[in-house]
Amino acid sequence: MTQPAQPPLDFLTLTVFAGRLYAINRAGQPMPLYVYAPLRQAYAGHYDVPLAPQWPPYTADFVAQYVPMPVLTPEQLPDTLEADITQQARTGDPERPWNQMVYRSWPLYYVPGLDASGTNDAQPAMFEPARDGMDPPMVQNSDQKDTLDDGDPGWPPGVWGP
Amino acid sequence: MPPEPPRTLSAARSRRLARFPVRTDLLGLTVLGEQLHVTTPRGPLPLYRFTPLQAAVLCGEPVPYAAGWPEHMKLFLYRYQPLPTLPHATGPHAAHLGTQPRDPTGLRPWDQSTYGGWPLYLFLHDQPGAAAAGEVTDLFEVMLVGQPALPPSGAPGHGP
Repeated sequence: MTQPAQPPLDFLTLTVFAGRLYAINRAGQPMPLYVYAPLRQAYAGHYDVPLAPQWPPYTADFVAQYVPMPVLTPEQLPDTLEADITQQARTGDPERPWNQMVYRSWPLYYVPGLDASGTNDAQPAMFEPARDGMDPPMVQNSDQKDTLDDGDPGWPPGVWGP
Repeated sequence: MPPEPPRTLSAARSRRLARFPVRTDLLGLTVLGEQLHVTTPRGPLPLYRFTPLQAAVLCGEPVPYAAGWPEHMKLFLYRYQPLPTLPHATGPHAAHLGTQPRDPTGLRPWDQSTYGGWPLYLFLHDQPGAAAAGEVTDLFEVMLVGQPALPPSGAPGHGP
């Protein structure tokens, strides 16, 4: 039976600085949060994004850098963000099985060891910084193209990867 | 290794390739720092390699061309353009150039330059003479002239 590769970090809260979302770790350091940008195209094209263990093996090292952000309690969330925070169960991921924080329908990720000063955003068309008030992935050019229930029993998928 | 002679294309393949906008402004190779670049009339452009390819080759894991990748990764992959062949490249670095075929049904079916066996790519958002902007940890890195050659695999070509 596969065991979790490593438990998630323990975070205190979320914060917004210069329009970007950060998680504050136990040492009080802000860690930038990311979203998987192709979710926009996935919603528009009606295809899923599998969880990381289902990605091709030669992309495993890349995708493993991005760790699903664990859920915080409502008391830990700033009032300004709480209404936009939900969670998803990572059903089918034996390596990172914990519930994942979701912001405005975007699953959130952090990069261990990457603090605010070392932020590397040079990842074209892949992981992008999570931004305060960003449009949900199902909103295309300010129009919501897909609702959560458009009659397709298989859509949207129960969990969004990676 | 000596440079490989250009392959002769069939008439049908030549007609099909003519539909695709293969760059014609790529001249030869140059090295800035330790990074391999292709020269153009507007300045040099950085060249990249797909870093997981070595492990994939050693494990016998085929890496498909971009059209065979999961749908959610294609937009990212299409920002890395396979470097066409450089028939006029000369100099010491040109001796390491080779050619690999690509998926004839894909969007980038032209023959691709290799360096020490590594398929080479351009990043579409790079500007001539500017720093490389297309590095992504554990996926694409700039090609260094000291990079050990890709182990032989027997496969005619590699993706993405």
